[in-house]
Amino acid sequence: MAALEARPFRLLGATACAALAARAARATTAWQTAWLGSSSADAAVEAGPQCEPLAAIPRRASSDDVVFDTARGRLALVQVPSLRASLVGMLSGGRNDRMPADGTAAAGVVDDAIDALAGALAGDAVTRVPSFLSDEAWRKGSGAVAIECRLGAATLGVLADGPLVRAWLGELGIGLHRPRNPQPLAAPQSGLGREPVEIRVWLGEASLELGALRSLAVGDVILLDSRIDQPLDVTVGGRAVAPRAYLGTSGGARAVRLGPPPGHH
Amino acid sequence: MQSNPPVTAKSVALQDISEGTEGTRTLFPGNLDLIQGLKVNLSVSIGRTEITVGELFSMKEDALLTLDKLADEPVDIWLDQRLVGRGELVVVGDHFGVRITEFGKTG
Repeated sequence: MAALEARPFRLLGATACAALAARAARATTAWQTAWLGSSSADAAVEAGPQCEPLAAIPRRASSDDVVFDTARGRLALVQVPSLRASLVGMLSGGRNDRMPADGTAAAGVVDDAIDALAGALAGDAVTRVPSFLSDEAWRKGSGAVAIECRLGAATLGVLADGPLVRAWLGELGIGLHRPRNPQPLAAPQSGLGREPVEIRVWLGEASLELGALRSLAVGDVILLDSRIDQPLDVTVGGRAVAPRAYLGTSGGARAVRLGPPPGHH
Repeated sequence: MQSNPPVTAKSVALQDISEGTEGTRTLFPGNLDLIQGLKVNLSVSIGRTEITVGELFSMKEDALLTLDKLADEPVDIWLDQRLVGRGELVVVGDHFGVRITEFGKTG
């Protein structure tokens, strides 16, 4: 069989999506408690995961988005400038919505908060990487997910690639297990037991030129290549098989007894 | 000894004829006369039956297989998986043969 380029197609069901949403909600709540000292309604977390990032968040590669390498896969935070502005507002009690200049202590705090958020979401240490998520993460069925979180005034898109999602689902005990009591497998040929197959018995053949064939008429006798003291050929499903047929009758119908091929002992 | 007349040999350059399209008129309109000498194989079947794969695989040596034809029914004449005629089973010397009772038109 020719080698086909195949990739897994992973479906994430409602249970997995709900569990991923709950996991994201727990992570962002923990992060808010640590960084903002509160998990109050002002900084409510609403996480709504989507199975297909293609539909949920338009594909783009922006220098403003941040990708993190985790030990188990890749995580991208999308619409980070809006998160930065929101964080500045939240950290300053809503009094200052101006973005701190890069290199200042305030900017460093905000960046640290974003890294901490990525760590909370990923569940382990993360490292910033310059590139965007791999192409694979954007392909349908890759198992990647998009999760939308509202963090204060910001709506943050969290994209997790397939390996990371599988690691998360493994932690959550979802979807990665074989059936607990799998039905035993049958041999494939046992499924063919009721399939019909045609057996045909052949008296013999005659080779003749087309000119002779065209002149054949009722009453003509065609001499065949088979001797009357030899068994007949058999085809099963159109293919010649070794066992030979010995011609006779049974109950008024033609019948054969199937024997081994000549010379077979 | 007689000398051969001088022969002038020229190389042949073949013209590229890939341009152009096929016409619509058939060149050999079903003309069987052209291929009178073509060898064809007629096969004669005495009958068939249908069993299941399960029955096939459990079949033992000397198994009896009853076919779909009565003992005195005509046999079938096949040409390349097409049923083209029927005939009576006969013996010619020590070989089987078929006396044709029906035969399709060959055109």
